[in-house]
Formats: sequence, structure tokens, C-alpha cells
Amino acid sequence: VNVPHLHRPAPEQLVLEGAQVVQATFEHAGSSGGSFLPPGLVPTIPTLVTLLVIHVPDGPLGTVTVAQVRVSCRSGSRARALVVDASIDAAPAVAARLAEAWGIGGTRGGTSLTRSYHQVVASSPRFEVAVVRPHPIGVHDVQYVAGLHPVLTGDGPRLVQVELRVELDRVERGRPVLHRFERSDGLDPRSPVAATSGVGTVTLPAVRFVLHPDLPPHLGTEPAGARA
Amino acid sequence: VRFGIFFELSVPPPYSGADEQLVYANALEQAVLADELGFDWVWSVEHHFLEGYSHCSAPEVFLTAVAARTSRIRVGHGAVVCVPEMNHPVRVAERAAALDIVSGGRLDVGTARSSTWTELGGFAVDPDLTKQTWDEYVHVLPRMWSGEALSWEGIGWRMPERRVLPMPVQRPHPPLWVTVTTPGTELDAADRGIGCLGVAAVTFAEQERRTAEYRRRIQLCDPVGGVNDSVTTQNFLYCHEDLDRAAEVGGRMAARFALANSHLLWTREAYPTSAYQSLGNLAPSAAAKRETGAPGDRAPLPEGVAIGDPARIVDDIRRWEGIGIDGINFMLNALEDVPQEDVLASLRLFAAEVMPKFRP
Repeated sequence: VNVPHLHRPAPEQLVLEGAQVVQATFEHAGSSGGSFLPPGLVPTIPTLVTLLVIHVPDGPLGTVTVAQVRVSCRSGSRARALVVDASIDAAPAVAARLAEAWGIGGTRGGTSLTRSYHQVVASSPRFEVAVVRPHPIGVHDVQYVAGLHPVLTGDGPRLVQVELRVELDRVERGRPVLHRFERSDGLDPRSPVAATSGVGTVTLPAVRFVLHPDLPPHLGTEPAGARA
Repeated sequence: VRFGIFFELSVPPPYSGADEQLVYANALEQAVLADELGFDWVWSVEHHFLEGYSHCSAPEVFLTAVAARTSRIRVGHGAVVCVPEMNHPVRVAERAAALDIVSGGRLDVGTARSSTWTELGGFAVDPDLTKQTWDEYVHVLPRMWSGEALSWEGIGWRMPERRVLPMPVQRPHPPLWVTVTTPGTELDAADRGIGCLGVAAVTFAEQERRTAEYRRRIQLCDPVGGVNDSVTTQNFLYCHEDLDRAAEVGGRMAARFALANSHLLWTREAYPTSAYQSLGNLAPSAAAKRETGAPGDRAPLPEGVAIGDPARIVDDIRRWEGIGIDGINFMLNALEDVPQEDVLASLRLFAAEVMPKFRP
């Protein structure tokens, strides 16, 4: 789905302050989670479907909202989340920069993040999810797993490893309620696990590695610098 | 230093019934040999739904079979999951007492609260509550084993006044332990006067720090029952006369276990909570270090691993002994990577060349 071209892997990090981050996790129904992964990745048991929405109201990129559908996996021994669907709201030049440097792409438009007293609702063209009755938890209690973003390169399809860093100033945990999810590809987030809504600093790191999707990481890892 | 063997009962894919039967049969044969050779414990885990990593969901059955085939070695739950949705505390007390009777008073009872979302989610457990429910279990189990009538109004369960039967053979009760993965659990153990059953890979320095803290703290404990002031660590064992061969076979076994371990879905990865701070059997520092490497990097063997020739293993165990631990529990295989005859030969060589160095 709108897989971006990786032209120049980000050589430096980009710090985005004041970001709102919603993460809602569900268990995929059934045992077919591995079918959403390329051969180089290993499924977890069970497969988690994580809906991640990051909204940055202003800063070096202006207003940006990124929404991703992620599937839990392992790359070798490491916990990773494969991005299987994404959408973005940003100025065209910003969207192009995020795509060519970090592989952050997807359909354009349709994302939103709204907060009321009793819930936070995040949506994209693919889904709408609510964090219901949020209550404060510790800012270090939330884990954001490094993402693997599908991209195209001159050598063919690859996965960009984006080790997102989120330093939260405050965060709340609530019950995840899925209002809408497009299931036509078979991905089926069913059993709710947890959802959080936080505010803090998001750092898009310098890209270190690009992975061949069909090979295990000890065979298919390429230093990103070689593509700069 | 006392020595035990520790079973996850991991099964290589595709997890056919025949594979599982072979794993159980091999483990029982290893336990019988360990009894003959003078090992002190046979431990087995309790895990649920962990495909490949552990098919040991009914350890009381496995340990009963071990007890029936052996005469001297102690049998240990390593550990019972003390979460009401998985094991009602009355059933834990009843089964343990029966196993203590059947084994002739050879039971040790480890307690735990489960580390993976796979297990907690599978039983619809609230991860925020498991530390509290575990605390209730360790306080109430000794009372149940005492034979007194008691009632209970707890967080996860309640019971009007009843006597829990039978009573165990050992008085006041079988030794109680708690599995230690997350730093700080050793202090929980010390405060309650129960043993530290180490099940995580830690460095010499970290184990020394934890053991010293435990020793200091248990002097001031408010015991839940009979005090068990013991600390054990977990280790791999592959002992071979040829050091290179030992490193090859044992190293591959340890690597396979580490890979299977890393594929588990730890609670912290799924559910944000302060109740689960570590990533399962990996100390936080080791998990962080792993993230800094390239995706294809293989983790080196932890220090102090009992893989090598007898002389090398003696040296390592002397270091563990020097930091004050009471016992080491060995994993003998992973996913049946090592042929059974080699596992048995490793046990025999260890018993002949290493074990006597640590016996009076």
C-alpha cells in the first residue's frame, strides 16, 4: 500500500517535541499472524496488532499526523513491529521527506486525534480506535517497539528499521475500543489488550539498518550508510 | 554448592505428539540418572501456550512421575504460577501436599506470577494484580499446610472457613521459593523468609549484589512460615572432555534456547504496567545491550556458563560459590538439540569430575 521509495536513509535524528502519541493493542484473531510477515521475520504467539497514531501540532515539520497499523514480530532475537498499513497528513514536502528518509508513507489524509474527558479517539482511513476511561500511569511503563517500514529501493523491496524513541511527559492507559477496522486483508484485531495516550518528545532516529524482507537478519542486514 | 537439573520441556517443531512423548521420556531418564549420580534437585517449570519453548503445563504430573522413579533427589516446582485464574490457591496447597506425601517429603515449592502476555492474556489475567495475588499465596499456603482451619477474603479469591487437606510430610511445610527475574524480587523473597530461585541469566557482579542484599535483608524478615534462606542460580550444563567440542555443542544448545526465549511475547511488550519491568529471563541491561547491536548479531554466552571441560566448569562454579550462592540448577538441553546419549554422558562426567570438588 503506497510503499515509499527510500532515496536517502536519514543520516541524523529528528526531534519532534509536544507530540501526542496513541497506541492501542489487540490480539489478532486466529493463528494466521505469520501470513502477514515476509519470510525474514518470525511471528509472535499471539500476534499483536498495534494501532499507532502520532500527532505533532507544530515544530520543524509543521503539523504532522502519522497513523500506522503494525504487526508484532521478531527479527532474529529482537522484538519488532512490521508496518502493514499507514497513512499521513502533512505538507507535501514534509511527507516526501519522511518517506524518502524513514520510509514513513502511506495514503494521504484522513487521520485525526481527538480528546474528550472520558476518551481519546484516533482514526485513519483504515481504523478508528478509542482509549476509553484513561488514567495516569508511569511514563516509563509504555514500550514502543522499533518499527520495520516497507520501502522500495534500487535493489528491490526492503524494510527500514526505525527505532522510534518516545520520551513521555505524561501518559494514560485506558481500555482500547475498536470502532472501525478494515479487515479485507484478513488482519483481524479482536481481543483488546491495552491502549495508551501520551504527550512527549518523539525522536525519529538516524536510520542504521535496512533489512532484506526475505532473509533472516544475520544474512539480510545492510548498513543504511551504504545507501546514503 | 548443591546442584539441580531444571526442565522447561521444550519441544522442537512441528510439536507432534511423538515429539512431546520423547521429550518427556528423555527428561524422566535424565532425572533418574541425576538421582543416581547425586544431584540434589529436579525442578520443572509451569508454562502455558508457549509453543516450542515449554510444553510443561502440568508440572505436578511430571514431578509425580519423577518422584515415583527416584528415591533420594528432591523434586521442585520451578514454579507454580500463583495467579487465581490459573491455579486456585487451595488446589496449589492440596496438590503440593499430595506430592510431598508421594515423594516421601522431597518437595520444594517455587512460586511465580508468569512473565508473558501469552500466558496472562490466555487466562484473562490483569497484570497489575499479579504481584499482589502472589503475595497472598505465599502468606496463605503455609497456613493451609499447617492443618488449621482458615477463611480468606483476598484480591482474587475467597473461601469460608475450611481445613485444607492433606497436610504435607515436611514440617512446618515444604521449602518455599520465588523465581527471581526482575531485580528487586530477591528483596520480596528476603522480607518473607523464602528462597530465591534464580531463573534469569545474570552476571557474577549482579548475582553477588543480589545475594548480599538478600542475606542482609532476610535477617529482618517477617517469615510467612518456615524460613528458607537459600539462593540458587540457573545455568546451562554441557560437560565434555574436549573443550572445543563442549563449546560447539553446548554453545549451540544455549543459543537455541536464547532464540526461543527471545521469541516469547513478554508482558511488558503488550501491556503497559509498572508491575512488569523486565523482559522475562533477560536482565534489563542485557536487553538494552542487545538493542545496540546489528539485527544479525548473535549474543555471546553469559559469563559463568557451565559449558566446557571439567576443569573449566570447576573454575566457573568456584566463582559462583565464592559469591555465596547455595545452589546451581542446570538446563541440560533445549529443543532436543543435544542427543540424549550426549546429555546423559555430560551428566555422568560432571558427577565424576566436577561434583566431588564441591562435596565435603
